[in-house]
Amino acid sequence: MELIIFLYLSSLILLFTPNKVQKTLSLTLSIIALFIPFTSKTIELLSYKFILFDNEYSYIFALAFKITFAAGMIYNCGIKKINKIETAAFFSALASSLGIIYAGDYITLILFTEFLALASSLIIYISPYPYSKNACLRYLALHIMSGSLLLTGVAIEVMKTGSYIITHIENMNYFLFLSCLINLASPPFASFMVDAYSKASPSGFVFLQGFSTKATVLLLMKLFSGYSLLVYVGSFMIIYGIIYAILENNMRKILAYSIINQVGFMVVGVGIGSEFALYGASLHAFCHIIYKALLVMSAGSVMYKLQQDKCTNLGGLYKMMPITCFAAIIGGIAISGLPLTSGFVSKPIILEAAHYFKGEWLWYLLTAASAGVFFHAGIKFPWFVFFNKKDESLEVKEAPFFMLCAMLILSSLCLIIGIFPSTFYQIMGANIDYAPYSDKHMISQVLLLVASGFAFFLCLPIMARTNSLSLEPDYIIRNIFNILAKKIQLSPNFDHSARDRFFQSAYWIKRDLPQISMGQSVLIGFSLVVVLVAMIA
Amino acid sequence: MYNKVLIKFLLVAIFVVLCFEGEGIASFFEPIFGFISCVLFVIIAKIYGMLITKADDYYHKKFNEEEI
Repeated sequence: MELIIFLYLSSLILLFTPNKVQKTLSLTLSIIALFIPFTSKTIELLSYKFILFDNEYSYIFALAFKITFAAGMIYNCGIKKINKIETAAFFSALASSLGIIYAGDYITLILFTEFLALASSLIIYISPYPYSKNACLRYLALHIMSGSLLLTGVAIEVMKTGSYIITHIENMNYFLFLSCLINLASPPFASFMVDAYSKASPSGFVFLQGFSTKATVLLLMKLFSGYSLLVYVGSFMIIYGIIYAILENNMRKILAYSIINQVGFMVVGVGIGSEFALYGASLHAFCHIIYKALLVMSAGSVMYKLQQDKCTNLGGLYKMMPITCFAAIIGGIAISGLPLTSGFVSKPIILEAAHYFKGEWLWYLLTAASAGVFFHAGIKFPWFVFFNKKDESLEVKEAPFFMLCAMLILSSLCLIIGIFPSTFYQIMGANIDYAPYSDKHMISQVLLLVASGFAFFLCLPIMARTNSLSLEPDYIIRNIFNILAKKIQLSPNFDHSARDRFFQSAYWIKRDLPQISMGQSVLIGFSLVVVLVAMIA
Repeated sequence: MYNKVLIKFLLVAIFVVLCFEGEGIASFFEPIFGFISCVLFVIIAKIYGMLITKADDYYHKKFNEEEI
């Protein structure tokens, strides 16, 4: 509890701190946060008991969040001119994510979910890159929808059970389930996440990738573990992530699709629902947060130095940015699960658990997906950015010192976890009997990845990058509003019929929604919180 | 060009050596399965990509997106 308060206070302090001391102070506060333990607590406010408690899985997630946060803050110090509002939003996002994973009752959960949506939206909004503000508003609109679904789902659950305490849901609650799917960035809602994350600042992406989707994975573990529907959802996410990442030209979008793919593995673990599978999902979430932060940092460094994120404009950077390239390779082999890296000791637990789920098809799918992960994230990203044919006009120096420090810390962590798996399981408190370094597992994994690498170079001629984008299901939603908006432009008067009022609303959503200022958005969010508190009172 | 040939050669060499280090013919299954899966992913992506791939500024042109 003290940890969450400390982070929110840090966020406030940073807002009123002069720019000169921003970097030092933010770094110091993030390192202090790393050492503040969490203590379970019940707070009575407005005659309602807000419960925050720790369990065996939340500890794993919280540790990953705090480590990535500290590394992210070191990385943030490498940016020449940091934005104090953005840095404050990073602290708020961490505090809110911790609030979600420790929430013991539904109201606490709703509050922190809304706070996280606002903090994440702010991070996207502040980004200096083009179209980030539009992406932020799309992201915020989807999260408002998710928040409404969560609220409805909670109301139904409270009516059914008469309790606000978060426990495993026995009969499917589709509102809560759908809300979780949106926050997980599961298709067809994935495009909003990919769109928004890829437009965040280099350090913004590091924090965004770690918090929202992973906190939701833990929420799924609390509410829906063992629901076989999740296995199918997770499987779809895995394939969806791979296909879109193969098609994608933007390096940051490749990594965003890779998040969907990796979260898919975790969702499958939650769907299997055994204790072994749940530990597999948690440990994989821990490793994923770290190696994905590493990959995102390396992509962010390239973006920061070159202001380019398209593979068609990049290539041959390994000589100019050797340490960044090294970090990308370590992240790439870790996500692929090569022996001696963190992915090798976490992902196979989910594959092992898959043997016990209704036939062998799931194991085959996850094995194929493991090869696909190496294909799209392990090789494709480093190859097209650092090794592919060099554009002669590209001249760049290595990333700033602090960025390199952060990447080297996370690279070391990926290797240490992979080299000492038993110590890793012990620190995480994972009560599992699993030895990843068996001869059979090592050889089969290396063979799988070599075969995948071979397939990559064989398919390279037909995977030539073009300056293109891939349409996602959000295209349908955008198109509907576009058609409605065109209708209203043709309509001579708006105010007389219900039909025109409907088109007028569509016109407003299409044309005016992106014009809402951030102040208005924050006001809307704040009023939602006020309404919620009033409901409790 | 030579680098690509070298990489392909090395990959084949490592692949073959590791295959024989495993458990006989059974150890061929996973790499071949992984290889076929990857090729299938590319084929699916290519076919699907024909339907959904557009020019990079497609959204901005179609929906008249402007920076605030």
